[in-house]
Amino acid sequence: MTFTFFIYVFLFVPPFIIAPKLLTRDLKICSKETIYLVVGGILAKVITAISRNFYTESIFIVVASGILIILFFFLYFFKIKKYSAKKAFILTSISNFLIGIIETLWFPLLEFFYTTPSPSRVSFFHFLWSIPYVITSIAIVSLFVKATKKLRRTIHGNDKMQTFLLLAFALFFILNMIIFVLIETVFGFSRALTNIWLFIGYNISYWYNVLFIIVASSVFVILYFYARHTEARMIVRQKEVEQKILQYYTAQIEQSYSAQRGFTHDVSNVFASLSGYIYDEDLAGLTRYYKSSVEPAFAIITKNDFTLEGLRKIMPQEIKSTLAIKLMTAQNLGIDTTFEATEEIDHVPIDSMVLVRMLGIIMDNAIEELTAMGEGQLMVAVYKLGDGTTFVVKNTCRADTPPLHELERVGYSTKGEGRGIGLSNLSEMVAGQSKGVTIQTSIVEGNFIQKLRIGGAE
Amino acid sequence: MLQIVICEDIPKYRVQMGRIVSKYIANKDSEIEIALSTGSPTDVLDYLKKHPDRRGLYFLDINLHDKHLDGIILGLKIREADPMAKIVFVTTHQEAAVLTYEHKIEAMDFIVKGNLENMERRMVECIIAANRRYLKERVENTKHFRVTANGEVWNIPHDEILFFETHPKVRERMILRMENGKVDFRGIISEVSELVPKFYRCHKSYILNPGKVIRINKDTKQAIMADESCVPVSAKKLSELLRVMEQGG
Repeated sequence: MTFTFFIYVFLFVPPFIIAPKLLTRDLKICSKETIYLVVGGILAKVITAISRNFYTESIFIVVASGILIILFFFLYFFKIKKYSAKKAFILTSISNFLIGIIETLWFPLLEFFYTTPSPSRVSFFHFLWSIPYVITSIAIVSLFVKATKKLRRTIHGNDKMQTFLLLAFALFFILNMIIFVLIETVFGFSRALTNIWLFIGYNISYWYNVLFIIVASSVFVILYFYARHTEARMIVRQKEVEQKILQYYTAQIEQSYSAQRGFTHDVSNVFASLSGYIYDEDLAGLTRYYKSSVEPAFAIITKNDFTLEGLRKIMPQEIKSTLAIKLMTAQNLGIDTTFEATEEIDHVPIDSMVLVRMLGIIMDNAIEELTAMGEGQLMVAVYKLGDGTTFVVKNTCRADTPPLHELERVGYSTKGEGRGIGLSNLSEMVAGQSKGVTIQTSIVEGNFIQKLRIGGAE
Repeated sequence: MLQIVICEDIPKYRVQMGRIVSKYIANKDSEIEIALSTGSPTDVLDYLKKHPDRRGLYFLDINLHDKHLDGIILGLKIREADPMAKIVFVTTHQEAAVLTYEHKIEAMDFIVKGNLENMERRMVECIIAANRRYLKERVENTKHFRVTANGEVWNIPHDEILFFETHPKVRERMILRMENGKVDFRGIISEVSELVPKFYRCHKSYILNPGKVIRINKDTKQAIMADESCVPVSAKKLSELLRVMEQGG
């Protein structure tokens, strides 16, 4: 074994295992993948060593070994670690980049200790060199993993960013190859590569490597600040959405409060009438009035109190509040209202603002229709089936309700503005929001039924 | 033959229900039979396993004494095994979650036990309605368009569909139009088109049911559907659609 061969194969292989292991933060040692990494690393480095050690005048082999290393990492991340192709490529580039840093860092040090000519035999002392080499490898990769913690989190859920990184790395890679080949052809292959221990000061490839690392690192730093910036922007957006939801609630509560006031007004009217009968000592009239007006109203109130029990089973606060506000508004308007939730609803996978607005529109339409009719029933049900949740809102509607396509036409309304606009808005909201939303509207036997199905992840 | 299954664990009610059905069969319609009358829901599941091709009407008590298999869960299992099943729940008190079961299990009706006269009237109504649907499905071998909404399947008979249209504003969404309603679902027109071979793709964004076209307005290039809604027809397809209509009607 010649010395250069030893350096390439023995010294340079450990980072090939350390980098991917630390990058995936999976430190468990699994025989299969370790064999893959060791064999692959050795193979790649042997080819590089051969290409450099035997004065091969072929750039082709050097380029091929570069491509082989990329392929080797990519297969590891993509096939063995099951990352998506995009992420696998990004991780491959990063591994390559980190190994580049480690090797570039060590070249001058090695040169310092081993001046020309290279020792012809490898002694035990040389093996000791692998200890600081492995330690620096671990340190550099760990430092990188630590430093990019936030960045990784941002990239993880951001498809656009992943594509950007992928393109950036691909561009880097191609550019690097072209420049490398250019250097080799302009300055002569053997001078640049044959013996790395010689003339490192004049070795243009080496200085190119250093330059490349500086450029790539600055790109990383820029990216890091960009990621922090986007994160901050997202937090601001989140706050805005919450603000909007809050405004919506406030408006709803005010609306429900005015309905409540109307109800109180009605009740005081009832008391006034009752006292009228009592002062007149008109017992027959009092009985009649009680039976015809007070009793049915009382029945509705008590029944409704009971039916809203189901709201306890709705866990997401914003859905619970929306349903509560709308159901109470309906009750206060004297509409016979029922609510069913047979099982606990914990999570509904949809932008809550959109769901809240959709439910709002559906129930507003129902309440408006029932108010206009002056009678009828509002029924609301929520249930889970499979991995999705279904909301059903059913209300009595006028017998002469026009066909749906007329109801939907923008501008159509049963009284003033409302229903028509709401319906077409709803249709757009459903479609624009989420892939897992299905909505059915039907008019059956004097009932208007809206069924909103929110699916789980696709 | 419409197969009726009764599952009720209180013998008194089971006998009553059996009598109502038998009386109806004897007097009105011999093309109906009681396939099973039992107090145990597991019997019903065994029956479904033995006769996977049967379609029927099921009268189920909600409060069965089996803790793990009440009427509601049984209903869901029946719905899985027999998608066309007509399920009627029989309860002792006014059910609190009628709307839920109406949609989750597509229950046909809820009948409150006790008043025998009322029970008989409602059960007979159910038998008549179920039989009508059963016969219709058998004769026309009704095909259904399945809208799969993450685990929940909405079956819409082809003969209730007027047309499909692509959503005017959003990609990869379709709207199915019926005379009395619509379904807004995720889909692509070319895929939908393959699922309804009898329908006609009259426009790049529309697939219509030729059986539901009342007339064609050549001037405005529109097909007028059964609910008076208008479907645009592309100029190229106008004469072809007229030919399809002539053949069909």
